Amino acid sequence: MSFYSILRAEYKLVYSEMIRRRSALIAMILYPYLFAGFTLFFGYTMGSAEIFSRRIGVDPVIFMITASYTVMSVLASVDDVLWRPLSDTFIGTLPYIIASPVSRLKLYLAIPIPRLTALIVMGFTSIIPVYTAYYGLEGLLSGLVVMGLITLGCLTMITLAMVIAGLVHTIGESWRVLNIVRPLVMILLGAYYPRIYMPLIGYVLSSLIPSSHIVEVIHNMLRGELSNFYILIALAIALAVLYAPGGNKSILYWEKKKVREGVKTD
Amino acid sequence: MLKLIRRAYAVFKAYAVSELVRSKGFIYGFIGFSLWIVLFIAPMSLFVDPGHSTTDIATYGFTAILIFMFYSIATWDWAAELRWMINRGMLEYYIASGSGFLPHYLGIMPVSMIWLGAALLINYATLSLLWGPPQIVIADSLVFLAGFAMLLTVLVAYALILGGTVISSGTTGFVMEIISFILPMATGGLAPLSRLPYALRTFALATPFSYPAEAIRYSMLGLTPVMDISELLFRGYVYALAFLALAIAYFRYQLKKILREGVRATAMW
Repeated sequence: MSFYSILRAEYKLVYSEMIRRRSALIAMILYPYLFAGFTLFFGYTMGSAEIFSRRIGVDPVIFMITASYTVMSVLASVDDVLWRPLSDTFIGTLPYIIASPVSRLKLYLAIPIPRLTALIVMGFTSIIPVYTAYYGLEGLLSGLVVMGLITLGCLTMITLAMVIAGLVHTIGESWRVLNIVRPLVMILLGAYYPRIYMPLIGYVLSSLIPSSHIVEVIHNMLRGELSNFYILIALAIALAVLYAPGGNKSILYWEKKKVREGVKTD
Repeated sequence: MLKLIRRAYAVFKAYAVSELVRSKGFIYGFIGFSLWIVLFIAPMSLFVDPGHSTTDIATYGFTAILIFMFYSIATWDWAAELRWMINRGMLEYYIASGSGFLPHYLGIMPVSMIWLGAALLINYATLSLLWGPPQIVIADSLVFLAGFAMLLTVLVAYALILGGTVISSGTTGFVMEIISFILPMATGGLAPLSRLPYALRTFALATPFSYPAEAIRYSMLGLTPVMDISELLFRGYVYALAFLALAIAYFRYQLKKILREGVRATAMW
């Protein structure tokens, strides 16, 4: 089965559901503003925007809307990979998928792409208006670059998400463990709290997450620094490629376990 | 009265066993929850000078979490419970039994409070790891108790209005989530009114939510409220009781409405 056919099937699945559940679509537009508003509100009432700008080198509104969009995008695309095995178990399609000869790597690479397209649209309702309001035409351009970088960041997360999905579903109690792993990955991403401020162990763990390097590129760019631009992007892509065989094996191992034990369909 | 206590105890026992004893996800849920809190609270320290006391940041964060969690309980444990009752097919039985919803809510409230206490402990530990232990000093215990009772009154009223709307209009979980995010911010629940912009402060004072939050912050953080404390308590209680009376009337009206038109049963999301 070609990658194109799998992708087409995934698009049909995701968009038919998205059109049916319009409230989820509205949520996608509102969430970056909600999260940014929440963190800004806390920050402004505790301290001041000037101190934030002095410490981070970026206006807090720009920083937080970027962080919220980043977290929403990475979370949504990673979630698709993490939850799909569970979703297939619950709706009863898992035995068919296990029996099918489709390449698991192709399948899991295709899974987050439809939602990623919707997330790019979300960027036009969050990143672009705020950047344009702050920096004018230049803001529009830098907003587009940031959106492109975040898209790349989401794509580099797929293989790591496959590794985590295979491991977590093999261990069991998976949705509960996932609810711990997801926020942990989001913290280590460094979008809201830059990793240079994290303790050493946090920094090291963060460096193992491909898109954390993309987040650092974005933060540097917002500060007007372009040092290590290509090195960090190359690091993110290299990590993603490095995780690919592990991700494939991890999913296959979990499937073999299911074949041995049987698939429960709730 | 004895019947009411017996019914409430039966509900409490059922929920406590199912949610606190049997559920394996209890601990996982707390860890996940505290991590989400860290994600959104951690950037707060970037807005203050590096030389500022980290204990102050932790205490401020803890008080905000405390009030936010009360709002969350009113939204998700009390108002959304009605929706779960619809989805599980329990609501019609409650209406038909004639016992009303009071025993059910008297039964689940202690479970909510146990959950809240445990979640606050986890958050206390998380904030201690991040910035050092928050300093919890109840400077004025009388005002704290008065503020706490006022907060419960206001939140019960809020849950009745939200729950009434849920059962009669089929409001989605998404709308509830948006409300649970915006309401604590807009009504002065998360930050002292003196630190809010004038327009937002005026709006917050026009709602009953801001008064108990100010009283609790005054008694726990020693923050001077925007008005004299006795005036704050008086105005707050008048407002809270009026709000509760309105909420009860509204909820009864919505119940009558669903008896005429039927229950709108839709999925949680």
